[in-house]
Amino acid sequence: MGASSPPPDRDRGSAGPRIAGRRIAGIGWPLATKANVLVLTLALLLGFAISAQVRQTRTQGLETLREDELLGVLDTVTQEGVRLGAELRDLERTRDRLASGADSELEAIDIARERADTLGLLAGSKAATGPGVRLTIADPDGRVGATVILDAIEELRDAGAEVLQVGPQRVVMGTFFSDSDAGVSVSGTALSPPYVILAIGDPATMASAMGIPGGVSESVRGLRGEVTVEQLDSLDITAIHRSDPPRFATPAPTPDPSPTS
Amino acid sequence: MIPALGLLAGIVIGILVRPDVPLWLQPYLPIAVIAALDAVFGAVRAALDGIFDDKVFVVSFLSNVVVAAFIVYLGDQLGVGAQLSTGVIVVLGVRIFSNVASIRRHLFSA
Amino acid sequence: MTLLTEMLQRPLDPGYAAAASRRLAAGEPAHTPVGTALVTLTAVLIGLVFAVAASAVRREAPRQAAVRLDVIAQVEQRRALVEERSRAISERQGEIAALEARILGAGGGGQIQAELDALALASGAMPVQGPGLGISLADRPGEPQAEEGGIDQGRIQSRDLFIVVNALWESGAEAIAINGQRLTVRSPIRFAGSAILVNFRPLTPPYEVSAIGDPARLPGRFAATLGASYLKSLSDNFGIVTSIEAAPELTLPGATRVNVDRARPLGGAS
Repeated sequence: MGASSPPPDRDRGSAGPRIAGRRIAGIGWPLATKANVLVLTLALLLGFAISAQVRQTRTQGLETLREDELLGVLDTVTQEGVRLGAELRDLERTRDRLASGADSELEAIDIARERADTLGLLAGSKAATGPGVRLTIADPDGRVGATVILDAIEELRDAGAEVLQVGPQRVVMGTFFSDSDAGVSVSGTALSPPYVILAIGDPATMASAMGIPGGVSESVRGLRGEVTVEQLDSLDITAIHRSDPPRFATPAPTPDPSPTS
Repeated sequence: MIPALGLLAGIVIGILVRPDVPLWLQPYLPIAVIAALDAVFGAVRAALDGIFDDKVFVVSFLSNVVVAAFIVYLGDQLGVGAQLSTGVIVVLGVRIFSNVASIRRHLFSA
Repeated sequence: MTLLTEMLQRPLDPGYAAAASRRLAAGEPAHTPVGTALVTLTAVLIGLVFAVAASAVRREAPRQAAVRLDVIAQVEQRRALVEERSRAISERQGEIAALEARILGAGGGGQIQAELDALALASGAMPVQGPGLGISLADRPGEPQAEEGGIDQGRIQSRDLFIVVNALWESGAEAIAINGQRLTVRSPIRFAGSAILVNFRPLTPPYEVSAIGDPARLPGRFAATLGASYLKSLSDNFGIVTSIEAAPELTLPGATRVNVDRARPLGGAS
């Protein structure tokens, strides 16, 4: 409100450098005058307010989400809870079979085989069969890059894809995508368009996931490519990934209690 | 003194009655509040300056509200309602602050 | 400038001064009964406007806030349930593994046990430890910017995360977890609005990507990937806070989603 307050004393402004210097020294000197204490209190309050505001904007959790986004998160977490509940019941049944079975050794071998099958499918060491989709990404202009393929893989995983193959390459945990001169490379193997992705899982869910607004199909169309999705009752994924055992990641003795994130 | 009591009475009535504000009126409510505040502080300052005038007060309040509402309405029709609302609030806000500064000088001579 | 000066220096309605001087000139009294009544009426009106506006705002805000808080509470509750079930699943898996080891170890099943361990290691089902790299990403500090017409570039997108993860695999990482969520072949990194979900769990920033791999080569290889330059451009252009640090010892949990529903091994057991 400086503009509307009366002009300051004119002669004070022309007090000269010596007085100005003394005045600055006076401001710097701590004196327990009423004004100084008041200013100190105000400065403390201001500092507190600033830090509180900064902290407030730092904590960006769920509170910053819009309502529709929150509902989406709620839906996903709920489904995951239901799925984990089913998995937990399966595991408990398996444990009880093992613990109380009369033929516990045969049971154990049976269960171990089942588990080895499952882990082999995930690790990529076993060929797989099941219902799923065949995704063909046509790319006449050569503009579809690794990020688009990666996006499609993430979207398929989100839709529950269990076993995946891109071109002749099995997709495993450590599969990576990069751009090469001819097209997209999968784990260092160059592919050329059209790219064919095979995914085992629920065909309808995966097919609709590809078609969501702003999703994979739309972004590929934006690059003047085309995504075709075939839903298949049965498809085979025959590509096998042979991996060397990891050299640096060694089994941890005790399972880490998963931190809340 | 009587106008101050009137202001208080209005607030009490509003709190007790809690009238439903029709939806079309809601965008104008904040603007009306700011315009009213401006009129009130203008009146207090004028009273302290010794130049308060009944007619000017009433007319300034009504015209403030009407003009502010009109600007917002116009802005809505032109698709810049939010920006114009901000403009109105800034202008009236500056006036309120200056008037408060003047009142402060009168009351505390600070 | 004239407009501003005018506004700042003469905030009062000029009408007051004009009316006062006119009154003075005409010798009229300052207040008339009718005038006072009008003023009082206007004051009542103004008070009414204040109260109505305040109550309207207060009634609107709590209703929306309550719904939001309710949804947030539900998300937190379900998330706690998911965490609890994940922990229970890890425990059951441990129990089953122990039972099998005991039963198979006594008989002739040692070979299948070794195969199981190798597969669990390769698929991400087993908790692992080792040296590696920790990459941290945090949203641009300060207010989230208006999301009009698209996305706030200062906020980390799921795409940013999976590009970094992809680059880490490319650099030879052997195991990766994000905020304690171990990545497997079935782990999606997606978004719901502006929230990032990994393994279908909503994560809160900062995002800590932990990768186990060759401590001598992983950092250098990562620095040479496109992902590393992408990370740098995120911090240079959009203010996203990133840090890359070598970690002498990381421990990553095993993944819980290590089952399949639809896929069957082709042509029976291997």
